[in-house]
Amino acid sequence: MRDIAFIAFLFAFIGLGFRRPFLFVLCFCYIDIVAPQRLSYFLINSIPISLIVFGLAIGGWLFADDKRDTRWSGRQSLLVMLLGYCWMTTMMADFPVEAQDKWSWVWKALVWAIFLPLTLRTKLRIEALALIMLLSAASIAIAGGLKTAGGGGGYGQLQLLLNENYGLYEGSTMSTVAISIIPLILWYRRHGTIFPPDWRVSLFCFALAFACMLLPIGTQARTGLVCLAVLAVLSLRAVRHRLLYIAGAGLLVAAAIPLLPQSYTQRMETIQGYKADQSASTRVAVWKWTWDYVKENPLGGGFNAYLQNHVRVEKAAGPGNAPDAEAGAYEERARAYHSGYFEMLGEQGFPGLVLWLLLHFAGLVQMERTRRRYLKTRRAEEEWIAPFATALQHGHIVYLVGSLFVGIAFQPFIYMMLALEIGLSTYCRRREREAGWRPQMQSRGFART
Amino acid sequence: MVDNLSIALTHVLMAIALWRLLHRDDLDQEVSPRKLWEQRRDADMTGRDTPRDA
Repeated sequence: MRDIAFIAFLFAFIGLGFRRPFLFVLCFCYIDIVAPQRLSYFLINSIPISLIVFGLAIGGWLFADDKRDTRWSGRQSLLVMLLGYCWMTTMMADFPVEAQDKWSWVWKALVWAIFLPLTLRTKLRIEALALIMLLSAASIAIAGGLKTAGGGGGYGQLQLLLNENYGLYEGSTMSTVAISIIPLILWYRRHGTIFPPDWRVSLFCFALAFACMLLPIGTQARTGLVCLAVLAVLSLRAVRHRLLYIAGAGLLVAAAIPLLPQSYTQRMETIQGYKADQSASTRVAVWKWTWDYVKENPLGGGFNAYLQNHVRVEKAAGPGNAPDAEAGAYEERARAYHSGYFEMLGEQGFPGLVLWLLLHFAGLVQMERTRRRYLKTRRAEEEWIAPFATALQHGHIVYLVGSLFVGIAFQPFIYMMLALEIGLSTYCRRREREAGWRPQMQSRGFART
Repeated sequence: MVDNLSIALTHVLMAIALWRLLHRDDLDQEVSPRKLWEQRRDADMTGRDTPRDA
């Protein structure tokens, strides 16, 4: 039954694309995030649906879309350089077969991030992409949130629709992404036009944001808690009544702590003493190994270079009588980086890390510029821009904090958010250039147009 | 059960969104603020020139 519904939905989606080719673009984003072919047991799991829609989206843009006012951004050039560089390291990788395996999806994510902003010519397209990304992620987040609220979950135990660590279905990745989309959800509540603001939209958005906050509890990913704390602080910039916000957040935390499962609070306490925690100690050992490795191989070892690591970890004694509380030393092999930064460093070396950091920090700076430029606009049709830039920027910062502890340097969802940022910048530039206008500032006291 | 509920809810919302997008002209073409302003100005001018019907 579910399979038939998926097939009907997907084919209807593709069918609509023939009337409005931009919908192919949305369709690919949907497939990339939800992966219906993996949730299904027949027909769509046997055809390369993702590749077909990828082709349709690019073909639709090439042959049917208006390209007169298409703009290129510096960050797209950075993405092209990163793509070329990753291809080069894949060719010279320490593990050619395994590197090829990761390259097979990384190139798609990068090409898509380069291509996507070219299609984002109108405000409605930007909004539509944000909405489809949110609803696609919501299909995972709502299920995870409900299961957590129902008492399910546990580290590596919360099943998010799909019982494999694919894309957003991996617990720590989803926790980070879920927290990073909260600002975008709250933006949509007030500025959406496909679903204009009303009580139903508000109800859905608040419920979804709450489900997203529950995910780090359900997956017991410590990263999620750190991300949530970062977002709480960042939100101080965006809220109108700061004192009220601080009081409300404090009350919420105080009310939530007694309701949290004991296993969760125990796990979160391990954040303080990483030396007594096996997972964290191994992580630090792998990071040390990566640093030593890259000093000898400054161009990195290509994708999945971590497979060659062999680390000896010394763990301090932990509190209590738990079986893993004793001090000891053990050896680990082929442990993943568990950090986007070290993933880039180990796999792509210093040049790759620099390109990657440049890409992200340029995004943050651009969003800050856009935010400041439009913050005080009084043109009704521009009022969505500054909050949107802020939401994307906050989501981006949460992702950058989350990727300190999770190896999500090439997570396609984040590259779509990056594409949204690029799309927003080029959209604003185009508007300004077209009209020779700057946003009308409140301080100058101009009348609303 | 929970999985199906979550999938159904989000997919129904996506379907409604796509249906609405299909009927929105501003998906592919956005009128620039200046054009909009010019259109409004022209409309005002013609409105002033020609007497309005009651």
